[in-house]
Amino acid sequence: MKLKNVLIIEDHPQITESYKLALQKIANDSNTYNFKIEETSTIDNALKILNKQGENFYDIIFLDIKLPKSSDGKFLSGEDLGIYIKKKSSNSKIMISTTFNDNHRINNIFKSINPEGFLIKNDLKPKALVNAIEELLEGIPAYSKTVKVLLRKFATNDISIDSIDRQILYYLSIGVKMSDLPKFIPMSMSGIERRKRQLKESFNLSKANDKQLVEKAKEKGFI
Amino acid sequence: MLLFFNCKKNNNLSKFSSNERVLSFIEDSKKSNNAIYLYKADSLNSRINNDLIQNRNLLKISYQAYKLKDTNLFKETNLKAYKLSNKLKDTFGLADTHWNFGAFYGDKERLDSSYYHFFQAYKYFELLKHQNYSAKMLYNMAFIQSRTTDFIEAEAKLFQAISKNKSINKYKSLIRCYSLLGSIYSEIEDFENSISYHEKALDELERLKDNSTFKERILNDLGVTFQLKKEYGKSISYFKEALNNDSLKQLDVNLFAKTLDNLSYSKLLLGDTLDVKLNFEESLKIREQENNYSGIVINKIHLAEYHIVNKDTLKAIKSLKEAYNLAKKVKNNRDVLSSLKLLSKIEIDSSSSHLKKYVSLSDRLKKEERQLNNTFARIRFETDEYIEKAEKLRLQKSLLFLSIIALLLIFSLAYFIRIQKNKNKELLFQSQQQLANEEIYKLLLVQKSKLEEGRVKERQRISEELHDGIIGKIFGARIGLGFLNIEGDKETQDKHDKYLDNLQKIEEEIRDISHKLKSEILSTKDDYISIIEDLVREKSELGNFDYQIFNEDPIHWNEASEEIKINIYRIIQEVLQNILKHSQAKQVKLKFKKIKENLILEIIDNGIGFDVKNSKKGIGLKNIKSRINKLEGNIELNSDVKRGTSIKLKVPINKK
Repeated sequence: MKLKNVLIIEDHPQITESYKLALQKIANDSNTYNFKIEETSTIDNALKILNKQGENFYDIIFLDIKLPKSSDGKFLSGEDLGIYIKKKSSNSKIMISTTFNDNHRINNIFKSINPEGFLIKNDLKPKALVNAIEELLEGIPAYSKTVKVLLRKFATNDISIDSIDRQILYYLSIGVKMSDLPKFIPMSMSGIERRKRQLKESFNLSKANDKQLVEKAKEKGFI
Repeated sequence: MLLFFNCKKNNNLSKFSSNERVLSFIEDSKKSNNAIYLYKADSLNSRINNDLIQNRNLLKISYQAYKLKDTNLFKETNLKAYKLSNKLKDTFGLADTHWNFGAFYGDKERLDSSYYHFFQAYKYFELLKHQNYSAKMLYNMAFIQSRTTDFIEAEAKLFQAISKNKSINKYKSLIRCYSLLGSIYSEIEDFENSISYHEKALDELERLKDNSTFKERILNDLGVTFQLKKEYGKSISYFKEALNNDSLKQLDVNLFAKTLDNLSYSKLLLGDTLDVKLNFEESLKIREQENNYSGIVINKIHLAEYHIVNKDTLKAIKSLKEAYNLAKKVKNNRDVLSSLKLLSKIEIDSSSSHLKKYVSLSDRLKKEERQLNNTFARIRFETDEYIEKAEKLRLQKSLLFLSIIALLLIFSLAYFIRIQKNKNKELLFQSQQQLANEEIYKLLLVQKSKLEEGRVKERQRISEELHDGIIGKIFGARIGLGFLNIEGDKETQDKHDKYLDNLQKIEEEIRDISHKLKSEILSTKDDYISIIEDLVREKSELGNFDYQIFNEDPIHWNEASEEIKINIYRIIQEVLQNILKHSQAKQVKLKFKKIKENLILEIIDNGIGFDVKNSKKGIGLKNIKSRINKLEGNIELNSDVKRGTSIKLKVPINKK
């Protein structure tokens, strides 16, 4: 029997409950693992617990992305907390769970946290959740359906775009006006225009408008 | 005797038939020396309606009456002419009547009146700048003044007259002036000048080839001068030269008698008594026949002197007394004096009484002369005053005129400025209105974009609410349900799983909705285009036409300046207004394009069109052009009758 320390950082009590049920099921079914579970719903509290227990104490940390920001304002979301955990406690396996299913966000989280598990909540059913946790425990990257599809898209894409291109596409997709883009992206207006033109060309859309570009980028999984 | 200038002028304005009879009557009277024709002429003339012609005729009649010495007719007609001239403001007529009066009173020995009228005539001729006549008036005045021994004034007037006559080459008048000047110098015993002016007169006469008795008259005057200078020999030779003209007696019998008398007198004074008495008696006889009273008096005095030389005192006294009485009778005071002087010398008994008479008369005469000269001076002065007054009046008039003009100028300037100000005000008002319009439009834009922003925000909020809140909750519930161990048969288990799947599908649907809410932001029309669309929709409802708006390669209207947007908006408004009013179009297309850095807008309708060349440039088109010019763009207007109209605007977007 292996005892695994688990921390659930999640502000939805029902979801926390689901995680606990899933862990319970694994413990009951296999007799291999025993879980010591701690739970918290705020970043502040999570930080307190993490600091108290010291680095690498937890084997698995469930992390919600959509969390209210910390009271000192340094941690804007679960993403920032994930980066912190990766740094402080690099042996802890992070299981991201989020309702965000847009490619841009998923991509960004991969870039910043590189989590061992990545679950899109909508993909999950009890069985899938249990499977994912089991995979994680065995050291297999545990990704839910949407994430897997996306990763496959990346793998087959011959178009490579950098993070600035991605940001441009993302902000355009959420309806930011061209004239406001320089406020979000550290580039000049003309630079942004140029990149946009190049993006259209690489998507074979040289005469298309922005809407078509955004649709294409979504299709290709860039956002 | 008086020798006024009276040569008459022929102012024949008469070309009217009614007038010709008057003129012929005057001619008749001239020929026959009969005043009856003049009365006829006068009564006929008074019936002529034309005042100007009537006046001219009156002047002729009165002059003719003067010549015929018909005092009553002259006075009546000349006065009528004077009044008519006054009424007509006929300066020449006034001058002429004054001249006539002057001559008339001169003949009547009323020297002050005569002088007055000559002076008035002179004044008017000066006004008319009639040099010839004004010189003649000067001569006439000088003549009167020489008579009253006001030699200095006379001399001055003659010099004026001479310079005038020289300037207009009037030699006869010039000679008369020289001659009178010579006589005046002789009177004041300035013999040198007297002789020199008489000789000048003779020189001028040589050139003139005059065959009247002018020369003889001057020769006689010269003789008198030398007689007074006591150079009797020279004096005699001049008289003789004058008498050399055999026809003198025929031409001017009085002059002949005078010269003969003078010649005899010089001879007497020289002591040569040969033929003297005979000549005296001959000249006396002629003068008596001619009723030349002053000549008779002088002749008798000369005869008396002859008797004195011959010591025949009785005859001398008798002759002198005759001379004295006659001179007194004709009021020839000068000769009264000289006869008294001689009488006092030879009539020893009553010498003192003669002397007394002489002195008192000469005193009286001097007094009279002085008074007369004062009168002349007063006439001149009053006239000067009058002229001064007239001058003042003229000055006042011109001042008034100038000030009226100045006032008018000021008023018109003020009026002009006012109009200009009003115009400026109007312009200012217009531009303010324009500004206000654009301000309203800006507000409209801002309002619209705020509305849009609010809409977007609200969508975002709903989207996030759905995504983060509701999906999360459903997910939690679903997972929780999934972990519940449902007791029951296979069918129940399957149903459980199916419901869970349904729940998952619902989550997906909600997420789709959330995504659509977000991504629809992208497809929301640009604020500006939506404003344009509102405008077009509004007009299309009014004009009952269909519309399409093409916004190819969407233009970033937010980057375009407000100026462009406002002007484009206004232009579209204007064009739509025209379409609405005139075109009867059923379809209108608006196409926005961006080519390079230019915004292209085409507005095409399928209405009746119009002839571009013949259409008067309306205010609408003008406004559009001025707006396009403001934006440094250009406009193409194509219209075919029955094919519709297309307007293409090209405006640089990044106009600095």
